[in-house]
Amino acid sequence: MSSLKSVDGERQIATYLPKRKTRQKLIVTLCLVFAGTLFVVGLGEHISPPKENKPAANLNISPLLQYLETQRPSALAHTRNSQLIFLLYFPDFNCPPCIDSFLELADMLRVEHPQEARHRAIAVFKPDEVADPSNPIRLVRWAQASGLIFPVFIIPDSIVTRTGFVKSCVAIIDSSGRLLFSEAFPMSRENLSTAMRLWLQ
Amino acid sequence: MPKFTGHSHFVNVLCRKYRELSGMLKPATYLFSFLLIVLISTTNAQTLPYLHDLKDVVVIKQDEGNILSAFALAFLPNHNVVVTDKLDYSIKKFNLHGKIIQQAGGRGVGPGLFREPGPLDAFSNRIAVADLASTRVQILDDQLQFIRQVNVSGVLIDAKFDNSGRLWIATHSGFKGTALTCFSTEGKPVQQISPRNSTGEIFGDIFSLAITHEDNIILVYAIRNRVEVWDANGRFIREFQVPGIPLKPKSLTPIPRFGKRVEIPDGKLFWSAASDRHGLIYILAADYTPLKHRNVYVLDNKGDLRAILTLPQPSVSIRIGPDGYLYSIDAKRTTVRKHSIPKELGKSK
Repeated sequence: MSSLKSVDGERQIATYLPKRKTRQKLIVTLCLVFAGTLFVVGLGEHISPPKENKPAANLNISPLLQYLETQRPSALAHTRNSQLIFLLYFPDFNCPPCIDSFLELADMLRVEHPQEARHRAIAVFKPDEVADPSNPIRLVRWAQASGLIFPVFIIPDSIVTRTGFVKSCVAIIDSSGRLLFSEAFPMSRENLSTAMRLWLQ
Repeated sequence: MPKFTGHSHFVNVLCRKYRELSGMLKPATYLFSFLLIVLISTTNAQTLPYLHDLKDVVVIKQDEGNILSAFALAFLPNHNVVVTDKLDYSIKKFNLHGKIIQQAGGRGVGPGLFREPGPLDAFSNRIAVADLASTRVQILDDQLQFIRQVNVSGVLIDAKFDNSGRLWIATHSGFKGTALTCFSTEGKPVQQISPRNSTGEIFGDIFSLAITHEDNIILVYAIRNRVEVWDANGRFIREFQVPGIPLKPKSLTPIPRFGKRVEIPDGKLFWSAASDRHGLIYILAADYTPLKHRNVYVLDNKGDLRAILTLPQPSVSIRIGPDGYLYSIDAKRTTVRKHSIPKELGKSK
């Protein structure tokens, strides 16, 4: 612009810029692009790509396995197959989708794979008012009423802390105790299928 | 009394008259003082609420796991108590002495089965049980047998019968204008109320429902100090606050949810509401009262505080039985307790 030195500066600039109609088109196009960008950004707030797996953060399963082996060796130690472990905390079940998601998976185990579920699945509870180690009757009765066919344990708070368990989740481990999969409740359909596939392989 | 001696006749007469007058006024002074004390004490009784510690009369305890997690309770005409047991997916009936006499239900979605049995009420020989994990309210008979179901849209919050046997069901749609719908005895929607303080917030729109003997519909918000009074024809009457309770709980850090910031309340203000045959409203306060989960605020339907009762145990739900007793579910949800209410409360102000 500075190179266009002239007495009639206005005319020079006017001829330098595109013609009026072209300018209008340019403005409209820019507005449309801007509006489109806003729309896409806004939509992104509501629509996100399907989440593959939201793992239960920093889950360290070994202290739990060591504890369970001391408590019930036959449940976990003598198998060459993968194991399914529910890590549960009752207050998380105040969220209806969470309890629904857990019960859906538990029902699937009972109906489709009852034998495997009895020997290769287990639920461990963080202690609370319902899962009370000194009086587990409420937990036992709830497990019966819910139709759970796998063993249910209440683990000490110290093990809960060492495991890094924060929110109710499901974990799949292989025969060597390696964590293959973990997902907090509520689970998506895709991840439920993934968990079942990993557990059954 | 001043004493004058050795003075003029005039002074003596004046003193005599004064003594006579004071002698005549003495009873009047006593009477006036008495009336003043009565007046002051009456005024104090009106401004200060009546405080009373309640005691257990009957306890329905967790004997051999009778109640795993009671959510709500209601009364049958023969004074039997029915309780929804959320963890047992069932409804249980107890007699006057707290002995379990019948139970029904189980986990499922079919007739008479529950996913999460929650709010409950009874009228005549009908029992309404709202399923918190679904959109249906099941109507059972007094033998706990399924009669029919009412389907609603949105999340169920509460359900109560009015004095004509019509069922009022509160639902949370997630949008402003949470609905309170009245269903006829045949299960058809006949009336709707849009609560005035509904904002569409996830937690903010949750309220407890009570219906007085005059068919006033009382809405007590869980995390907002606001009580709405409506009539059975859907006309708004008034709203008020419970004295001594903050307007709302403290907020924890807002979290993004469903595309907007959701404020998580740090605890709640009120657990539940009930009404007695005198039309008084009983509100069980939660985290923001001197004795958490134990103070029951008793107000008349104009919002004047009549009393503060104290439950012996922290509790999560209250009801007034047809026998005039106050029933509560303790905070562990394993025990239902029955308490006698002081008779003074029933007297008009």
